[in-house]
Amino acid sequence: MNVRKFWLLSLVVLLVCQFGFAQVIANKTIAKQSFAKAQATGKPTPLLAKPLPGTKARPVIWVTGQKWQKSVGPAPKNVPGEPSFCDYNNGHQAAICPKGLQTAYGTNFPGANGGAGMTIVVLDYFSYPGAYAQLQFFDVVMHLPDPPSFKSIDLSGGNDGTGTGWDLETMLDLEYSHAMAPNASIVYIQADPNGDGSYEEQLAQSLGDVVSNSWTFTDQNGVGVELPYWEANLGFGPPTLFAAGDGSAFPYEGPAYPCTSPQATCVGGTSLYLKPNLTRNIEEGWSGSGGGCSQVFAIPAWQGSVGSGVCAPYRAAPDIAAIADGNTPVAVWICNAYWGCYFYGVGGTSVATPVLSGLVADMDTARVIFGKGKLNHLMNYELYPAAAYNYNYYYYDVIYGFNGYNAGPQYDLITGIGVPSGKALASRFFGIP
Amino acid sequence: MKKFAVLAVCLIVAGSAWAQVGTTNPNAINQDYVDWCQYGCSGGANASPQAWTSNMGFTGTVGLNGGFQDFYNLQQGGSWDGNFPSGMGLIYNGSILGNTPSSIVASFDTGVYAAGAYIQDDWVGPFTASITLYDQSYNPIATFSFNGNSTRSDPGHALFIGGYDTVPFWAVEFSVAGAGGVFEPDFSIGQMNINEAPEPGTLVLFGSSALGLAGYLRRRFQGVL
Repeated sequence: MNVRKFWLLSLVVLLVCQFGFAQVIANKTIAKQSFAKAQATGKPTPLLAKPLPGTKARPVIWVTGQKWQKSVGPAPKNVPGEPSFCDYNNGHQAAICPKGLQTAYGTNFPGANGGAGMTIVVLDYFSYPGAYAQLQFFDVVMHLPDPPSFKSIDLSGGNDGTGTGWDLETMLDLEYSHAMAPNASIVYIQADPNGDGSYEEQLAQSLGDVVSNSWTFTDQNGVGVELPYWEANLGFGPPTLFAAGDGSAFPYEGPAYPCTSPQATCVGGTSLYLKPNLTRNIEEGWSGSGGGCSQVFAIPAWQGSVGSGVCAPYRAAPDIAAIADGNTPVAVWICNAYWGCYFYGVGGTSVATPVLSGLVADMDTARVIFGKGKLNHLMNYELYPAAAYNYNYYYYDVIYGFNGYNAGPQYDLITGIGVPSGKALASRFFGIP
Repeated sequence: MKKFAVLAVCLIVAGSAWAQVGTTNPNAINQDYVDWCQYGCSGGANASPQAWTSNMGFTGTVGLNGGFQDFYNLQQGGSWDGNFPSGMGLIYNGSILGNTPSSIVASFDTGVYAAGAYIQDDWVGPFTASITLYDQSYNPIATFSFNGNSTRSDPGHALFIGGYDTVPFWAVEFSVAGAGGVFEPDFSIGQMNINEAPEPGTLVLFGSSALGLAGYLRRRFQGVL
């Protein structure tokens, strides 16, 4: 670390210690203030801080407040170089950081090389001008390389997302897609919050190798709506991942579209508990994970092999899943006038989506090295047959959990097929063709 | 001192020449072995890949290269009437059972220094078997080929094909070319032998080569020493 970075890091750590752990922001207040603007009629909604249905205040965002103040101390020996709130502290799992995710989900598989040569496109609404600088700071703290290139495209129409919730969503998406594929380039599209994202989504699919979308459409009542006309914006190029929502099973808050699109790979959520060596200990279906049956879209051909009976004749969602529970949060750095400069513990399928987008970039790098083509928007045609052929080799089958539906062996409406194994799916010898 | 440095460089170069060696001698790879009858040897199909455990608890996977094709777990003397030792468990690639002809790959959860297996073409007559070693990133690092002859009802005479290295490798791929035409590669492998520790023979060879090289250099530079 050079002298400049060292002093910068020291200053921020000092600020966090001095103020961060003494300043507790009420979770409920955050949720209300942050998302009142974003949930306008017919607008895309970020999937961060919806309280669970039937609960008064259990958002999936909270500040790294006093809860962690007591456990601030030397970083655990098994995670050298990480902040002390990362992964394990005094024997207890705290916020999960990049090394924890990389280890638990096994990104260091043959050929992956951190997603080198691939480009991840992150699409969020509103602008957030400080995004790259904050990603760079995140990289310094977490000992990650900066992405080889970072391109920001502002189509927001001058709508600043600071304090809307989209700013934290943006940092989450950038930091954790990057954490899973630190050698992949990033394109950050800042979409117009007054539009429906059609142009931006099509642009996203033309600019990268995987697209991460952590948002859904809601009506004026905040209920999920499926928009068949919007299908024209999907299916152009690379794998396009969408979050399944944080409102538990679909009957509660309506289906999560575009996740329920047959042209999307729909990402559900889990609760991930690590072992002290950062490998997976327990992974269960997250109670808040969106999941259920589309009310519009017919069952796609690829869902005939696994999960066909769950929602037939309609499409079942999600397809795959990863960490999302706010009780097993990831640490997200953000620094602005609204949020202050802190690491926040963040949950939601907003986490799972960039995490798996990064994993797709890793898989693509391996596939190219091994002489196979990159995955594309037809990725579901590969994911489901793999499960049908050798389930427990290609997936971690999540069998416990309840979001209104029960998790169980093989396909379920919380985690879909399960948590994909990049190592298995991208294997030179046994991976998907 | 300068000449000593030259000698050291030469030794490193000499050492690299011994990096990978092919062998047909099963006794050269004898620290541990994998018995394929751990899958039952009932002749049934198994999804690729399957996890295996060696006699000493070492682990890995085995399957058909390319994915989504079952291998068949046969047994010499029962479901296979060929050259393997009697009763030996086999991995068959199933070419004449409808599979697309594929090589057989065994991967190791931890790198190994030597690996090899008995191998036989399903078609009677001469054949060429090959083994390819892969590094930790699954890049090929060496391929060795040896000739064999496939006969029926003649147990105990199967070709053994293996390779060893001075650094660990993480997967081996077996294949054959023979008289089976469009069905090739159509073959089985038998017991797989592995060395998890550096091959002593390699070290002996390296040591003797180093000594020989040192002697040569000593003679060469004797006049100026």
